Amino acid sequence: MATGIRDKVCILGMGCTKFGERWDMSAGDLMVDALRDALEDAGLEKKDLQAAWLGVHIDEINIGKGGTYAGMNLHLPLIPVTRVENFCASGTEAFRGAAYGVASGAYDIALAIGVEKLKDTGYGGLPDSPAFGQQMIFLGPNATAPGLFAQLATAYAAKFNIPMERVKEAITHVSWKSHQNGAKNPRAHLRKAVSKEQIMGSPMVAYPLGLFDCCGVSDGSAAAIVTTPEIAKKLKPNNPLVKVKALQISVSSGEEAMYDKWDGAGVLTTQTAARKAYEEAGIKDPRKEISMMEVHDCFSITELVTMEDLGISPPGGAPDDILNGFFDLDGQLPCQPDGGLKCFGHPIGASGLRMIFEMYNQFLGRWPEDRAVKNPKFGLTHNLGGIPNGNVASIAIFGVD
Amino acid sequence: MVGISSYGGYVPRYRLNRMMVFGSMGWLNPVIITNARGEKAVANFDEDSITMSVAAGMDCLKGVDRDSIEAVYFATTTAPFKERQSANLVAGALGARDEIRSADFTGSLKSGTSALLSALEFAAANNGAKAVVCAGDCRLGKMASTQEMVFGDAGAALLVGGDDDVIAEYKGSFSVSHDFVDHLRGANTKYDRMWEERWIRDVGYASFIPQAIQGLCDKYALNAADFDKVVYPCYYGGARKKINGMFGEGDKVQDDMQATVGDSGAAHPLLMLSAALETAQPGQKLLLVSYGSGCDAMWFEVTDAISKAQDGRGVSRWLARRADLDNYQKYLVWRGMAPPELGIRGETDKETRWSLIWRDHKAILGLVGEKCKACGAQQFPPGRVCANPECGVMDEMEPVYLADKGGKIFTYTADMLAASLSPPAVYGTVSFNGGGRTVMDFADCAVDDIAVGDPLDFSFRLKFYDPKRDIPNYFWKAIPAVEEVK
Amino acid sequence: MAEYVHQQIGEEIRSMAGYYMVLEERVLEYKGRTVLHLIEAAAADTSCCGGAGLGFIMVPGYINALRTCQNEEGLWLSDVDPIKDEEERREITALIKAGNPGFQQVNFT
Repeated sequence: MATGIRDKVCILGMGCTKFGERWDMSAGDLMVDALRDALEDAGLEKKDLQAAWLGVHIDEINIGKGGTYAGMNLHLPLIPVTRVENFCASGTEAFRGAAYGVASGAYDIALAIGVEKLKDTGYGGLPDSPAFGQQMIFLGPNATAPGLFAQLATAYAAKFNIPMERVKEAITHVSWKSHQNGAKNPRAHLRKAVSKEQIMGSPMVAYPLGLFDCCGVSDGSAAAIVTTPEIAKKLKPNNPLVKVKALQISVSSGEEAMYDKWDGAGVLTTQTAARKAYEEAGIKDPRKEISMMEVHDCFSITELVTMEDLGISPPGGAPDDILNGFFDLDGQLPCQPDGGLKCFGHPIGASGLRMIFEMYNQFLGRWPEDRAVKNPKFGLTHNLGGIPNGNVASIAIFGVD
Repeated sequence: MVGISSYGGYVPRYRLNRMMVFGSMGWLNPVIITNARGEKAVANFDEDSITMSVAAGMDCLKGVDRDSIEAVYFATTTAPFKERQSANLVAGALGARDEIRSADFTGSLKSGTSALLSALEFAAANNGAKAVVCAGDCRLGKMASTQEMVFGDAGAALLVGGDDDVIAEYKGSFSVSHDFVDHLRGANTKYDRMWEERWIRDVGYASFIPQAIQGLCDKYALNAADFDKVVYPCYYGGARKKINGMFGEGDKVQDDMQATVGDSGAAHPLLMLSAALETAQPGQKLLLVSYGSGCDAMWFEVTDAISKAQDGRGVSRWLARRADLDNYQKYLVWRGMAPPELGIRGETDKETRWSLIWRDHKAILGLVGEKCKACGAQQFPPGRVCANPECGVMDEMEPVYLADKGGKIFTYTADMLAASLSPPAVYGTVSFNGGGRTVMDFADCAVDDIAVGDPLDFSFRLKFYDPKRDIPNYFWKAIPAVEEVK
Repeated sequence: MAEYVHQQIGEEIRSMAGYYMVLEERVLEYKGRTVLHLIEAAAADTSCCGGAGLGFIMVPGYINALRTCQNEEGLWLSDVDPIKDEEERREITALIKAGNPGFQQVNFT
């Protein structure tokens, strides 16, 4: 019976660029920054890498197909490079490829690198693409992600009979918290605190989501070098080992989009991946055992329902937890200590690795006092790619011994 | 006996007050004030002659077994294609079988009655076989033209058949045909061009309509005063007055809807006939005359079966479902008369892939989903695997026509970011009556008009337009369920 | 009774997806009371999922006392009564929309 990869893989080094509108840099330039920092952190050279996985979502604009863009831009030493794409979980998928490569014994040292370069399209936002195939151009709605995620809020309010004003109050706190945390982070795309009045004062973009409930697009890259605990101990005998405790992916079955059972007020794949991840990591009570999280706050409502999908908040209880400051940086379970997608930014292919970068550095105690999480035991990262009724969710859990 | 066995109408929701047109364009051509009374119906940005015909057809076919339809005829002067039969799109949307006769009637404003005559003759020649006639028109006049003031957009439909179903028995017809060019559009012309109005009124309407009526009366030994209900299009008040004099005493002449809809071209005589059938009484003699490149005159006798068909279908409920079109510029953009900036994102090429469309044509045209033979779950879009996670069988699905089933709102939103000619784009998740869900565009509503759980109807609409290749693509949207007017 | 913090006129208030700003503060007489409303502009120029902008109008409420004091950031504060009654909201929305064509939203706090 397979038991997963708990404690079989650890992180040897990581790098992450500043996220933002990087007009000066190509995707290749951004990757060089992330790789250089990761190699320096790991104390390795390019020739030590035995395999690489590249995570990128919008491919046609800058990367093209396959792994060649990474291999040729980084001048990797003729090693296998596999390009992975799984919506917003692409970065975590790259990490999963590298981790599984090491855990299987196929490689000693592997690279996961994620990148997205979105600022060469001539307009804001993601480029139009048939994300769900050609057929859906004819059969699907003229929709955007804010509009599709906004429906989580209408369904959530209806299911738990919570007034929309209360939901708005809670998601305003979510955005406020990310701005607070992001303001302290030099790598974050947007370093600016905003008041709750200013968030509440933003216009509606897709009912009931306001402009300040949405994340943006950024350019950026992040990289991780992984190996086995045995090799890591030899290479870095004085460092604590940041180990992978669980790595789970769940993809929609079509049930949410087409069948009548789903309540629309949460995300089935997140719930499924979380259950399997806790089992893999040996976590019984996530609310008590997890110390910090980076979750996929593409919209503030997504973060709210994710707190319940992860089993941290009880059903219908997320607004109370949020408004009680449970997830604040100084709360019981800090969520988005780095500012989240909302303020750190969201270069799709890099986002999963950016979240892992935050967990890794928190575990190593590398951040200044004002944004450090105290004595973390388990750290969780979560990506949600696609739309609430058709998506991929990834969950990774890390810990130190 | 053959005749009309059902009727339907459709008037788009948005109405443009003619005084608003005058207010916007009167500075240029002040004489349009003479036609500035009332309002005209304007097709939404996602409607055209085909979609309005389908809407009227759906209204007409309520409760009719789609498998019983043997022919679908479509009449218009504003077909979106020169080659590609529009009637087949209409037939697909109405859920008709593939083994039917289909035809487009076009080229004149009397094409609606030409289609009706062909349908009646088809029924007579085939033991009362059922034929649907759908007509819709969406004609354009230039800014500040008489045509812009007078024309309106609408659709109408009639079901023709035999025997007990017949609500108005077809008794006979008389036609005149002339190359009388009062209105004209060339093969590559967008806007209507007309000759002098006094000539059109006196030599056109006021001569040809009486000529056709007299011919019909002579042929069937009738007197014009014998008719109990009279339907003919003519927006010239003076000519109407003269023609009405033929029918003797009584309130017999059907309102031409100039104050509420405008002249809806090929659809107009059928739209007026549908309105007339809403209140027709058994035994009444009904006269229908069309006008354009000549006239078709036909007469019917209303049967006892009419009462069953007076159940809310027709024109009234669509007339009652109205909203003001709040500005003239919106009308110009919706009708393609002024080019709006849609942003670089709007330039994204959306190629129409015909082999894909053919493979999925039942789903696209008829909102045909499927039902699982193993567990009974309904699903859309169709696929080979059952979506019920407890079932999941493969290749056990049978098709289900969902377009007339309606549904309910599961969730919804109004999206300011989605590129639309009527922002915010309203859409949501629809639960089909009978099971299954899909996310769909909504039309003809604002976010304040709807709530979770509200009933929905489905409406065939333009999905998107490919400007590079001049291809409109169609699919279904959800609209708030239309209340019946009793 | 609530406190309204006057945002600086013409200053971009920015988040990740875009920004908005107050263009003008206006008042409107309604049933003997003075309704404060803000003419605002927004642009979703950096949103993850599309670009758009809109003109919108925010209604903090009926004015009790205008610009009573300044907060630590130097922004003026006013005492207002937020408008909660649905009928009043509908009528005020109609009045404001009639005077401001092109504005897509009238929002109440």
